[in-house]
Amino acid sequence: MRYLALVRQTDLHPATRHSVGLPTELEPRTGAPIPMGWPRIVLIHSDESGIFLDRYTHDGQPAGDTWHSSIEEAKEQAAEEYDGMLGEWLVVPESVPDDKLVEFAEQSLR
Amino acid sequence: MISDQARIVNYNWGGQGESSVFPNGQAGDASLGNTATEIDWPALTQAQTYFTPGPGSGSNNAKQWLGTFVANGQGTTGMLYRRNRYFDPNSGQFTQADPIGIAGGMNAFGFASGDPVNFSDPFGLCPPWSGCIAQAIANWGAQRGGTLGALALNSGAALNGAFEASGINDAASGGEALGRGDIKAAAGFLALTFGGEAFKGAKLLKNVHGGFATPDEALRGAERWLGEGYQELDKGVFRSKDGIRQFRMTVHDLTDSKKGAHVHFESVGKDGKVIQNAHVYLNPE
Repeated sequence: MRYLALVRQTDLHPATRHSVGLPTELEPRTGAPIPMGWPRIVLIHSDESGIFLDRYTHDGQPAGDTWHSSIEEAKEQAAEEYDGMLGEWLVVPESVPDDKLVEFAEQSLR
Repeated sequence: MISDQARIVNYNWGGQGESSVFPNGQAGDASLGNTATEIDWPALTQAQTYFTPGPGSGSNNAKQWLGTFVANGQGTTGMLYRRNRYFDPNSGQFTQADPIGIAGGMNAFGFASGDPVNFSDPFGLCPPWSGCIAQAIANWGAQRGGTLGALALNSGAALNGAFEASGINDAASGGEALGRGDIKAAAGFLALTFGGEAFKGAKLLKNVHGGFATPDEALRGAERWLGEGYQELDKGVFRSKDGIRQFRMTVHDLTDSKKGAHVHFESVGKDGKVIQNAHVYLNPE
C-alpha cells in the first residue's frame, strides 16, 4: 500500500537536509554536498528492503528517500521533517503509476 | 604536416566533425572535413580515415570512435587504448592491473573474463559493464568480511540478479555503444544504469568531484562514517555505536531505477529521525 501527502509551499524550511555527494566529513576537498530539489509530495511505500519515505519535486524528480522500520515511523519522520508544511495522508490507488503521483496528488489533495 | 589548409577538427562522440580550428585561430567549417587537410597526429598517418563520411557520400565505412584519435585506440607502442588501460594484442592481456581490482575478475590483467567471444571490454574494466558495481560490491564484501562485508556480498549478488531479471544485460552492448560512439544506444544504456534525471545530477556533481564514488570508495567511507562498533539495524541499514550516524545500502538503493545505484550517509537526531541524508551514486569507474 502506498501513502502520499502534499508538502505545502511556505516560508518554513524542512528539518532534514537531502543532498548528493559524500559528506564533507569524508571528502572535505569537494565542499558541501549539493542539496536536492524542494519536495512537492512525499510517498510512503514498501518492498522487501523495508518501508521507504520518498520525496519528489513538483516535476516528479527524486528529492531524497529515507528508510523506516514501519509506516508509522515513516509518517513521524515526515511530520517532523515538514512540520507545518505537511498535508493529509492519502492512500494511493494501485492504478496510479509512479510517474503520475504528483499529478494525482495535486488533483486529489489540493 | 601543417599546410595553409591544415586545421584541427573537433569531433563528437560519434566521430563526426562538429567544428574545426585553423592555425590562425579562425573557426573552420566542419563540413569540410572530408576535403581539408588535417593535422597529423602522432602515429596517425591517415587522419581522414577516422572522419565519418558525410551524408550521401555513398560510403558505409563509418568509423568507430574509441575516445581517441588513433586507429582502433592503438598508440605508438602498438598497444590498444581502452580508456582506463592499454591492451596488448600480442599477449592478449592488459598492461596494467584492472583499476577496480579483482571486481573485474580474478585475473586483474585478463581480458573480458577470458571470453572475448561473448564479452568485450571497451573501458578496460569488466564485462558486462553494469555488472561491475555488483561485482565490486560482492568482491569487496568477500575480501572485507565482517557484518558489512557480508551485507556487501549479499547486496552484490542481489544486484547481479536484479540486473539479469530486469534485462539490463544490454549493458554489455551499451558499453560497446559508448566505445563506438553510438550516442543513442549509449544514452539508453546510461539511462538504464543511472536513471535519467539522476544521471544529469550525477554529471553535474562530477564537476565538483563529489557525486560519484566507486563501490570501494563508498564502502571504505562507510567504515569511516560509522566508526568502531556499529550495528546492523536491518538488512543493509547500519548505525554507529553512538547512534548518530547511519549508512544505508539496501537492495532497494542498489537497484533504484529512478535514481540509479546509490548508498546513503545519514546523520540521525536524538529521537531517531534522519536529519541529514547524503546520497552517493555508485560508479564502477
